[in-house]
Amino acid sequence: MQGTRRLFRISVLFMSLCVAGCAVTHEPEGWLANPGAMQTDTYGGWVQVKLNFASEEKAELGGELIAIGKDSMYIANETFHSIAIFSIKSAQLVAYEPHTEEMGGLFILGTLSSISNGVFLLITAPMWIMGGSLTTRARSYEPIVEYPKKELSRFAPFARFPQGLPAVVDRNQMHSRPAPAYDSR
Amino acid sequence: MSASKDSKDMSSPLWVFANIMALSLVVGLVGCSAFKKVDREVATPASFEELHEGDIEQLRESSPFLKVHMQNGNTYVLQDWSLDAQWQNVAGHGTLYNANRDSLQKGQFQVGLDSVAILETNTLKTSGTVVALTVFTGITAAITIYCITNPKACFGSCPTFYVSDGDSVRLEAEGFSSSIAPSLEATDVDALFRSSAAGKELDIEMRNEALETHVVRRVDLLAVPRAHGRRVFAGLDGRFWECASILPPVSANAPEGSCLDLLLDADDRERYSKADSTYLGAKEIIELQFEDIPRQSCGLVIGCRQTLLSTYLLYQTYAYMGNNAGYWLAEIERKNVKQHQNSIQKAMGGVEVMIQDSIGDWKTVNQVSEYGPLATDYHLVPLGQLAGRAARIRLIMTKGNWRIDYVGLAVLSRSVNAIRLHPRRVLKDGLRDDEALALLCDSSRALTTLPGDTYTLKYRMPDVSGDYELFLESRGYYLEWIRKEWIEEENPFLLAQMFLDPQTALRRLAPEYKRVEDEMENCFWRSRYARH
Repeated sequence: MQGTRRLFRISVLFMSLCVAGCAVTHEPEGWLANPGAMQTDTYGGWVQVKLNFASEEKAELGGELIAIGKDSMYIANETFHSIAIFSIKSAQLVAYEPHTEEMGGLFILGTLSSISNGVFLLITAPMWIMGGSLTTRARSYEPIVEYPKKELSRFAPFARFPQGLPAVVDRNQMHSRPAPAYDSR
Repeated sequence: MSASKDSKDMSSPLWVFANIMALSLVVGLVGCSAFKKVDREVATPASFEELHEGDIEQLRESSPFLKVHMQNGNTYVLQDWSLDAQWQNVAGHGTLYNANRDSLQKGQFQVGLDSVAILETNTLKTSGTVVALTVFTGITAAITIYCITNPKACFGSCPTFYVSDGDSVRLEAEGFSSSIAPSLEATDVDALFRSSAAGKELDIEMRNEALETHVVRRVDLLAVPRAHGRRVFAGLDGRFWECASILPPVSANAPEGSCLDLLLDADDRERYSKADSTYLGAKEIIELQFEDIPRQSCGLVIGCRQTLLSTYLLYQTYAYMGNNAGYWLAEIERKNVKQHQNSIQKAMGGVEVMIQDSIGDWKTVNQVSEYGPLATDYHLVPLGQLAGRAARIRLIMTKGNWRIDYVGLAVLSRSVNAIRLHPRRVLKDGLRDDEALALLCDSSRALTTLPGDTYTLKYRMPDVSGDYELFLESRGYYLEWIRKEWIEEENPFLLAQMFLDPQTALRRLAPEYKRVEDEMENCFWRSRYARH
């Protein structure tokens, strides 16, 4: 059964590579809204920005996306930040919680369920391992929009203020979503 | 002769139950909103006003909540929302939040669109990943159910041999299909009909693709020299015959009508029928007509393989043996069950060849009875010199038991001798395996292979410039692994009926076989044990 073991090893290696290829995000655990809660959630998604012309400790910034203006992106964490768009090197927006780990768990369950498939296991187990790894990876990217791959205007619908920052809003009073906040599904 | 521990335990009812529970859990969880994809749309009031009533209705169904973003940063989250008749106001029940998202007010609201900055809808859609998960679950569930309900369609049958036809590697032969016990060890000669040795070497891949233990005594290549453009066939008389020409039939009539088109070429388009629904041993006739036959010795060439009916009956016999399969196979070894007592095999029969003589009587010439459902083999039934310029030949066979790919009347030119070639090198998983080579070249020893094993056998052709017809001679036997599902059908009475009263057994099994007949071929090939 050397070949079977080899197939299993290849499948596990493949799974490891795919899992390693899953999207890496930076929001605090439990911060993002679940997909089902997005219909009523009034906060923005989590945005992580890398800046061009900043010192090392200020080169990266993350927080709730408040709004996208013509020249600026507005982010709130402990404080409110106004970032000039020309200084943004790259940005990643995560709109909602993809539940990648839970989906990976379902694929492991599916892989285990193929044990009673007899010789068909040779088809179903790699199908679950390889297919599961690929789809889990794809799922991890579903709620993500990345700049410069996509234009910053694509971030706007997932900002707290999709219309842009209202003129009457007091920036000094603006605070981000309390973290961790959501667990409503 | 017992099931492997893994396959035995993992297909137990407890495992199957656990499997079904796990899959049910997967199905249940993939449906929850946590795995949905969110499709968010934002629109200005102006573009919202352009929508028709039907569009609004559709939008309200897909997005039951409407977020109304005001110019001052406040946001209404409205449920049961609607637009008024003048398209001026949006109304609904919900909550008003300020710019910091503190809740200000709850209740019924009516908001003028002229003070709205953006309207937002969120539609939950099924994620593509959930679709994949559902498909995987469906496949696994289908296989689980299939394994429970139809355990006798699993791939089986002796070593399989794959040879390159120049374009691709294809299944060309299966060895000693009827040798299901040591005492039934037999030699099998299969035509490698589509293969040719284009160079100095020929590679043949021998695979064990079933839950079986194969004991392979030898695998030799028989290279038969032939004149350019001629073919050589293995005759049922044990000789190799070179053919001057092959005449196609001018007509071929089966119970369903003409099947001439299917029999003219060796192209994998086979003529076959369904088994009888009341008696699995029922016979059928294909009548062939040949014309313009020269006054020379002739032979009927038949390219055929079995359907899965015989495999089904073999597995059913094992099922009735159940836990006592070992005992019964030992009885075969002790010669207490004679080969001639295999009445089911006799009742099913082979492809009987009959020819009409000059006074119109039908005479049986011989019978093609090589077994195996995997690879088409080509047989020559010597007929001698025929009486007239035309001949009528009948093929009589059990309904639904044979697949006929090709028939032709070969005009025999001479008997030729084969050059026997032993494998010169053996590779396993791409690495040289001298031990396997030594076993295959020593007739007192044998190579034992297990499911998933693949060996590449390398042969050197005797003369590169020569033209050869190739045959594979394999000798050995195989042991079927008894599946857990089979054991559950143990029944000594029905087993005795299979041996002592096969006609009744074939009537009794007909409805059950008909229930799975349509699916068997697909399921059989899908269950092949491969590890690549």
